[in-house]
Amino acid sequence: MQNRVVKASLFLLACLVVGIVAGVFSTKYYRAGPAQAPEITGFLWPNPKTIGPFGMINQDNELFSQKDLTGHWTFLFFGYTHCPDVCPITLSVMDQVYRQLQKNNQAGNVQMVFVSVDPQRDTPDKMASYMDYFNRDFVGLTGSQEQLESIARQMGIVYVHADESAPGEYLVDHTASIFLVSPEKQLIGIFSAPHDKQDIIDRFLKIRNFIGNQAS
Amino acid sequence: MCYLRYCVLFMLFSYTIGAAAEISINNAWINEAPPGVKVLAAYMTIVNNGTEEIRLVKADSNMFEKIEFHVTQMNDGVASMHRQDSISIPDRSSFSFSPGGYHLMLFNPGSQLRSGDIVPVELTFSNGVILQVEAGVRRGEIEHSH
Repeated sequence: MQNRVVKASLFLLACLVVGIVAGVFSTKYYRAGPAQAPEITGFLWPNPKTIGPFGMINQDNELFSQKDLTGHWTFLFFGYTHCPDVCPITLSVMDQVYRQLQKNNQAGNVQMVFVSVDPQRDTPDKMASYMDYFNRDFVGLTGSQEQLESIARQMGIVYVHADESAPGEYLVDHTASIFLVSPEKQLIGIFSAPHDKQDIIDRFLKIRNFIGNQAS
Repeated sequence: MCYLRYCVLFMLFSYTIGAAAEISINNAWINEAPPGVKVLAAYMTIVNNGTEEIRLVKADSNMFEKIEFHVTQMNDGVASMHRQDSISIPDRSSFSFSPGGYHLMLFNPGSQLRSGDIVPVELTFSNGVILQVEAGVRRGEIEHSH
């Protein structure tokens, strides 16, 4: 009888120890777990906006919609081909980012997209030669004014066409940040100008790692 | 009388030579553009070793229809370009046209320019000095350092 009481007490004690240890570990794990977002400049967490329906035309005259964002990490930059300074600089940096990721086998589901804020002048043909120059893998989007609005409004893009200085010659003020959209179509990051290749890569990999841990 | 005229001409010539020597241009280059692009940007550094402020008032090239001075400015993440009538370079200082800031905007090239091409550019300053610069075309690999 006394033996049975000792056994029961030992069992309860063992349960208590296991419970406490499990509690401490789970609390620790929870605190250090993936729910806590790392501090990354431009990282729009925990309330990223999901990109809704839009439709534009790529350089091959094919429709590019929100469906083409699914499953990709998409970098988007808005500009125009008549832009001599900021746009070539930014596309050059995006090319460097992409090539560096490729070199490190980290570009598998990454796509780079340039959206024209000057669709009147930037025809699909023009976009084709422009994108080819920077990187043949890049996507160039144009379309009607309404089609441009369908994505620009969602992402809060500003673009203002200035008055013509000569027939057909005008400048366009435009948002110069690079936007990052997750494979779940969430606007997850903003990289403000001036852009630095390594800084973008470092922040992107941290964000992708965090989101990957959330999903798993 | 004739002697005096030659004397004045010689002094003017000497003055211009002297003033020109006080301005130097470094690292003039043009960012190569994709095929069909009609607006390019050139960058360079102008050094004013003189004791007076000078202004760059005009740039010309036989390879472009026209050249303007512009500055890119960022306001709340929005880039806008503003035309400048002239560029001031204070005494004993330098001024840089550089990517993302001030640039020479080159309109309508006569032909497609490729990396390695050399473009002659004529710069006119407020003190009457005119300098001929050769700007090399190259593909800009811009690496910002922070």
